[in-house]
Amino acid sequence: MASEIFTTIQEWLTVIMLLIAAVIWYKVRKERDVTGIRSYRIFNVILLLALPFLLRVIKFIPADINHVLQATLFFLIFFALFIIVVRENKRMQRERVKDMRELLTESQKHPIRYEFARRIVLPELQKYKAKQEEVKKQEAALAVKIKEVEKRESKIKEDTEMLKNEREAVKQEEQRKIQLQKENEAKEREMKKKEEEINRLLEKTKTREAELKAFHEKLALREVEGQKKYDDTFSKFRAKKTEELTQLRAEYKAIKNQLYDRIKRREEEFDRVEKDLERREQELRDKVKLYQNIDKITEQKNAEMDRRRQALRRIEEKTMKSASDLRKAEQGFVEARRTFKEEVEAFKDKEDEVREELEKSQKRIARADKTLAESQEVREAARLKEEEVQAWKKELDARQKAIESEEYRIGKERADLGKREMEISKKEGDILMEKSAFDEMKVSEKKMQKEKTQAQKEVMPSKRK
Amino acid sequence: MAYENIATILSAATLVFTIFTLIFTVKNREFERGEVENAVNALLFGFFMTVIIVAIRLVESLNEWKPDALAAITPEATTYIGYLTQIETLALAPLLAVCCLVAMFLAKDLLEK
Repeated sequence: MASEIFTTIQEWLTVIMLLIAAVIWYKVRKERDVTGIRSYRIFNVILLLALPFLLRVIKFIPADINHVLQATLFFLIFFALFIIVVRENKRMQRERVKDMRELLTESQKHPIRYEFARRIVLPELQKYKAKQEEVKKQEAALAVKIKEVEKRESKIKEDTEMLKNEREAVKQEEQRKIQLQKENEAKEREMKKKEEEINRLLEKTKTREAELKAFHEKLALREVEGQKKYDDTFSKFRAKKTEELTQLRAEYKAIKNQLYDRIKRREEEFDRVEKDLERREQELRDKVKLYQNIDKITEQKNAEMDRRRQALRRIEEKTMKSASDLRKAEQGFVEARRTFKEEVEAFKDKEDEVREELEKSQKRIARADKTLAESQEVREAARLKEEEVQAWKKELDARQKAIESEEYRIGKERADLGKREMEISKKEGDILMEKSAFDEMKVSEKKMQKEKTQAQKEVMPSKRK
Repeated sequence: MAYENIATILSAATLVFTIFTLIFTVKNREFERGEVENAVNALLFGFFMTVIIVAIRLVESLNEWKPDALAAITPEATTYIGYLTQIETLALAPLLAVCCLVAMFLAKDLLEK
């Protein structure tokens, strides 16, 4: 029971104190200019903490809801505080940096120059180093990219050479094909010529046969005529002509033999021609076979050519594809080269920037060095001064000791003096008392004198009377 | 049950923000004038108290949300948390209020000067 009461009292005490603090702050804020305190916004918000504590002492709200409400209020207050504090911090940092930047131009010997060196020069140096590392990384990346591009170039060159070789092989194949076609055509032409010759020879043999038949017929006619003549002349020139007949018969026989010979020759020739024809036919057949073979070969070759054509087509497609790939690769290469150029440009720009930064930071470093040298000088001077100050301090200590002893002495004297003063004041009091007694005596004396004179005056008229 | 969840989450977030606020206030103290530092220090002590208060409240909410989790650590967890809550109510919260009050008085004196 007692603890509960104590807890309640403490809770109320907390709330009251926070409320008093809030009232004080808000009153002060109204009356005075609070911007002298840079964190005055924190003071504004922190006093809102009275609210969750106030909620805590209110008992009619259900406990769960009260608990959540308190947590929410705490969260909101500290969230707001966090934002305010972060913003303030950023603002103050900015202002401080601005002030320090002003130092760079306005004054070299400023009391916060070390802080300036730590806050301005050091981050700049770190930035510069980071940029240097970045540039190195970029250089390495660019070198890798250049190598990649070179590799791609060599690969593309190899591809183009391969394509050229393939093209040449295809061209050679086509030329061979054309040559074979030409050879086939020449052979066909030759065959036709030979056929024509054979036909001509056949016709020739036929005309010769016809001639031979005509000659036989003629011969028969002549025989008939000779028979007639023989019959005619037999009668007439039987005797005469028997000789002639014999002669004629001999002639006839000779002619016949001649003719037979001729026929035989012709027949032989014919046989020969036939044989030749047969041979030629055979040859022709062989040639036909050969041609058939050639046709087969041609077909095979054609098939092969078709295959090759297909292969060629495939190669062409492949070539087209690779050409398009090549084109794409070229485009990519051009793109890569362009990007590379851009990157190189950007890199150059960055390099320039970095160079400028480097120059700036070198200048700053030089300034910082100068500042450091000065600071060292100042430090040296300060050390000397410190030594002097220490000497002075020692001296001062000695003096202080002397002063203290003096003070002690003076104190003592003062005490004595006080005592004396007391005595004097006592004496003064006595004197004053005496004086006052004296004054009283004087006054009474005067009074007495006055009374005396009055009495005398009063006595005097009566005497005159 | 949902109330405990919400309260736990809010308390955890508040604890984080309080710690960050404390850190940033310490950083901001560098920029203050020397005279104001006492007031800010008092306020910082108040923040520190708040961190402890919020942490205790977080543990309390957590115990309400998941009592088994803390009971697994120690069976007397609920008792200890009760003690902590008592300490918070009896000592830490008034201390926070005192810190705020002192900071206000110091700030007031400073501004009146």
